[in-house]
Amino acid sequence: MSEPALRLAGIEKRYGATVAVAGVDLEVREGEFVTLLGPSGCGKTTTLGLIAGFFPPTQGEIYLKGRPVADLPPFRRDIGVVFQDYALFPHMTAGENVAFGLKMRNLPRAEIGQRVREALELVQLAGLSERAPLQLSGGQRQRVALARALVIRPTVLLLDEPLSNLDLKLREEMRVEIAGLQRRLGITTVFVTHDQGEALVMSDRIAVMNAGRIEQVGRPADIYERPATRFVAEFIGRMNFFMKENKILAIRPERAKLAVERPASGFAVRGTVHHVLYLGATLEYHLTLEGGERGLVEATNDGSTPRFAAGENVWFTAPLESCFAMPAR
Amino acid sequence: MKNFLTPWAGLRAVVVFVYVFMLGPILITAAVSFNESNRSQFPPSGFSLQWWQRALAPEWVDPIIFSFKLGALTALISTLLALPLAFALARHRFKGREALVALTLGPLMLPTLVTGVGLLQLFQYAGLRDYIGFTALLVGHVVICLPFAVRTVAISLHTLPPNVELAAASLGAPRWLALRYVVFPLIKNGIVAGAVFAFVHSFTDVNLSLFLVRPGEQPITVKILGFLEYGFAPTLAAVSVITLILPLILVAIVEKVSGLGDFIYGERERV
Repeated sequence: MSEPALRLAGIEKRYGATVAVAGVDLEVREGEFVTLLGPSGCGKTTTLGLIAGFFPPTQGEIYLKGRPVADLPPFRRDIGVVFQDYALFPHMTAGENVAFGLKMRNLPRAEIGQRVREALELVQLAGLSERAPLQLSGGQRQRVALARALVIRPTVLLLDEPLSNLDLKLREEMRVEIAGLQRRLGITTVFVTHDQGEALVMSDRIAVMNAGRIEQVGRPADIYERPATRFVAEFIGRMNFFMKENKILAIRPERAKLAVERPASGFAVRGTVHHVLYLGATLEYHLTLEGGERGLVEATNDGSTPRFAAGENVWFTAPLESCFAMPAR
Repeated sequence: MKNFLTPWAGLRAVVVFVYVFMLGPILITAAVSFNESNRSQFPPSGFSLQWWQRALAPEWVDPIIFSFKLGALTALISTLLALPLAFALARHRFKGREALVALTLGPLMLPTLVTGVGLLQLFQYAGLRDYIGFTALLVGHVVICLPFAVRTVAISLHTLPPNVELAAASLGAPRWLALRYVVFPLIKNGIVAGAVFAFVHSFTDVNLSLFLVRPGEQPITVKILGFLEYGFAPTLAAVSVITLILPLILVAIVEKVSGLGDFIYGERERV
């Protein structure tokens, strides 16, 4: 347990004057599922490419189980990659796709056959070995890509937005399935996504990236409940912000409440209900607050709180333990 | 009656028009070759195979074989040159890329007649007069056929699914194995198509070849043109049919074997 399975030490990637990755440090423990989360252009896919070895870092070192690999070509790194578009070989069957990595390792035929069968069973595609990628559905192609990456028993598995081409229902199924598979196999995984829901559900830890840097690394609950920067707070979930001197005060909409009277303690500011969104399980109150700021309150529709209508004057309140401060930047 | 004005009726009219003016002359030529008299007569009067007999004499068969050799070698060399060129142009941004594009695709814009005159002068002034004939023809044909080969290979490289090479690399394939097992099988049809285009273009060329022939070393197109200067004989009709059918048969065979049509018509499905 001494050496992390993967360690990025100050890696940078520049293309001329453009900085894609601006100094990233990250440790991924053996068997851990770490997500790189961020908007498009934040450098998360470039970071993945650097780990895979598709291009060299401009600066910094990458360690796989303590061994520096930044100078190794991708075919000598033992890293499994699942691409966003799956990148299956269209002229090969599903089975041949999965067998490719084993053939490149010159394994005996019988062993290849055995391991391909096991890998296809693992992703519930037993019996579809002879199908060409074109004859498979999107979800099945995804599974073939996963089996192809897993069958080589890689040191690290890299997943590049593998769910973004699937429809909503399938995506939610695959989230649970991939996370389950990863835990069962105990395979060290780095997952790239811009979808905060995927990141929260699947990860052991999340690294939120912005403009080529990691803004915060932590367990999903840490990231959501104690965001370190305004960017993290805004990118994951929704947030009310209030400027207080040179600090920002942040309150999640589901932790805020509306009240007719000013409460004895806690944070409170006067406002007017601008409009109400009725969502069934919850109600969303959009407010115009004193000083012109806008407020958002998400109330559970459990009958315990009074309803308010547009135009009413109210207090936007929150207990102090639900407020957190972050540096204004 | 108003059906006449639908777009479909218009399309049908165009198709009929094209077929009449494409196939018509061919059918007429074929019919004329069976004439009994020594005249270009249509419909033919009588039936005779004497023109076909003459067409199959060495006088005509030799230039046909010459054209075949020239076309095949042109296709081979153009394709071998096109592979690295297409890779460089499709994959890399480098200094002088624009110049290379212009050089490779330029001959497409230039009248081949001009290219022919230019090459003739080059061979003469460079003291390569002895090479005029097959060698000069080969050089000229490669120049005018290369754009076709480069284009088709470049197109097939562009239609390659984007990450398959990276996928192969991540699975442990060094570059040359990725090329051999992944890239090459996927662009094979493009390579074959390029070679076929090059062959057909070489086989049908007359403008350029006109300037680079020498006695005994001339392609069939130049031979036909030369013969036409003395007038027309049904022999020529028979020869024309042969020169028309042979490349068609070749294309048909390649099409059967490699599914060339999918490439040409862009119907290849992608994952």
